[in-house]
Parts: sequence; structure tokens; C-alpha cells
Amino acid sequence: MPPARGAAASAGARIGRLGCARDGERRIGAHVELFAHRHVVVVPAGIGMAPPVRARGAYVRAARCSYPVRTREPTGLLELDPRAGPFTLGDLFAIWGQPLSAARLAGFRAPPGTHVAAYLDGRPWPGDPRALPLRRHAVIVLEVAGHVPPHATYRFPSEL
Amino acid sequence: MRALLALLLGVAVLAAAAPAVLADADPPSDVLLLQSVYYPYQPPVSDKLRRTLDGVVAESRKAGYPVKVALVESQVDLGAIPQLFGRPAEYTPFLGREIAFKSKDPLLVIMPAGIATYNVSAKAQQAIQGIKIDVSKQSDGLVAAAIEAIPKMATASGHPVAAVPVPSSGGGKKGGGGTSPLIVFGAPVLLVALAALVAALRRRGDDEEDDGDEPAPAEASS
Repeated sequence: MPPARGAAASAGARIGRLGCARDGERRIGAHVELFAHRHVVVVPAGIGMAPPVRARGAYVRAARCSYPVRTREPTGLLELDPRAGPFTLGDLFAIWGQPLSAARLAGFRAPPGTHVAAYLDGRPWPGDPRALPLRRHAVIVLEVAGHVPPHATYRFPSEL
Repeated sequence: MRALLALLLGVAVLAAAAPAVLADADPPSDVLLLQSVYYPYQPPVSDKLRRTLDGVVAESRKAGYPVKVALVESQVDLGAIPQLFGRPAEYTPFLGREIAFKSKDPLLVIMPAGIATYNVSAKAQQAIQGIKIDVSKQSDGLVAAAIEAIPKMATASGHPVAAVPVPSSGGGKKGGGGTSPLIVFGAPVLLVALAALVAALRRRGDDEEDDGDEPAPAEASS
């Protein structure tokens, strides 16, 4: 599992147009699932949450400050602050500090002659995966080096 | 023509027998890669019951019987496969296969509809046959059933674990009027312990482990 934070997010520094701020507003949900070699790649809790953080098991409950895109649980559930949107999947990976392109998915590279496959709501996304829109209840699947039939829907917690 | 019909029938049977979905996007399959128990979203489990179950799971592991537990109270707990809610016998092997690349520990799944297991001996399955789930207590009822089940499964599998009484739910809050002797005599001790805890927390590094429901270091969790 890749670490939840790169250097910029660990420092709470501005990442592109996105800053780290005290939170309190209602957030909306989106879901991202990653696969490499047909195995799940866990999206860690604590992406977009600057330390010190308060954790409970595999969950992160709170932090010094949060970016408008964050994860508090290791399930791929994203919490988005709609005031700072619109967001793309590139924003998530920039805050996470992990590479994303047609050839790279976090620490994994697409084998020669293949590329990172992206799906939005179960449908193939033909363009740059970084441009995938992170809108309310978007269901995104990324795959590299193998295919897993993507899901099209996700049951979100009512508060998101 | 008959051969073609037979072939089509065979394909249809295979399709019906296949899992409903293949992509794993159910929260327990991610969480159980990182910790031993998946707790449901809503309603939240009381702290007292959570601590008790975490303790039982730790004792079971110490006794040589590590176990994974998924407590599924509603469809939300199943993410992309809500259709398996209420069908523990179908969901449990599916979940077991999802996490098999990382863990082949005995797996216990509890839903309001029932209990199911995977990677578990026949004796262990038999040992938990009579356990009742108090569905009126929702998430806490699932936890109570797990607290009862795990020692029985471990013991039946040759790894004795003592049964633990199930605490009453309610987050450890005490009701009733008057001042209890525990508060009168325990308060000074508690204050000293709290002061020590605060000092310890200040010394801790960036990532903290939280066992309670205290507010965030700076930012309130939403």
C-alpha cells in the first residue's frame, strides 16, 4: 500500500490550487478502486489529511487540516469539499503524491503495449485518467496489468 | 440443435453459479487487509463493545487462532455489492476469496440475517450453531454475537480461548442518579491518569493511534 502522504501534503502546503484548511463543512462522496495485476491496491486512509492525525486502526478520524479531497478510511471512499470543486482524479493523485498517467498507476507501470485502463460508472474512459471528473457519487476504477470487471455503482454512506 | 440447446443451458447454469460481481469494492475486503475486524458504518458500535471484541480477537490470535471478522449491518457496508446484504452464506466465501491473496485466516461474517464462516473447521462451525443475533441492538448486536462466537470457534479448533461476558451496550456511559463510590474514590486516580495521558499524547509523533472518541488534534472530524 503506498503511503498516504507525500512531502507537500505532510507539510500542509498548497498543492496546485488546493490548500489545506480546517474542516467542518459537509462533504460529498466519490469512490475509487485500484487494481494492479488483478489484485486490489488499497487506497490508504489519510490522503489529504495533514499530520498530526488521529487514527483508529486503519481509519484516520481527524487531522491538523484537510485538503478538499481526502480519505478517512482505506476503502477508496473519497470525501470532497464541493466548495472547492470541481475536481479531477489528477487532484487526488497530486494530493496523494503518487504518479498517475496512461503508463503509471501509483507504484505500478503498464506492461509494454498496454496502458492504465480507466472506468467511470462502469464505462470505459478513453482519455487521460487524470481528467476523470470527481463528482458526487462518481464510481471510478483504474486497472493496470490485468483486467477485473469494473463495478458501475456503489452504495454511499448517507452523510456523503 | 439439441447439442446447441444443451450448450446454452450449460452456459446459463455456469453464469447463474458465478459470483454476482468480480470487482472487489466492498469495504470489508479493503479494511480486513489492514486490520482484523470490519465494523459497520451505522449505527456506530459502542466503545465498550468494540474494545471487548478487539480484546477477544487479540486473545484468539495469541492462542494461535487469528481470525478476521466482518460485521455487516446494512447495505452501505457492502459498497458495490449491496445485493449480497442479507445473504451471509453467499457473501462470506466471496469475501474470503477477495482477501485470500493476503490472508487465509478463519473468517467470520455476521449480518442481521445470520452468521457464516470461511476457512473454518466443521467443529468450529458446529460450535457457533446456537448463537443468536439480537437484531434489535443493530450493530451492537452483531458485535455481541462475534464476542460470543470467537472463543467458541477457537476452542473447538484446539486453541482454547476463555469466553468473555458481553458488556451491555451504551458506550460505557453510566446512568442513574447519585454519586457512585467509584466516582468518589476513583476521580483522583482518574485525574492523575488523564494528566499522564495528556503528557504522553504531547510526546507522540505525527500519527497517533486513537482508542476513544476524543476530538481531533485541531480539526473536528466530520
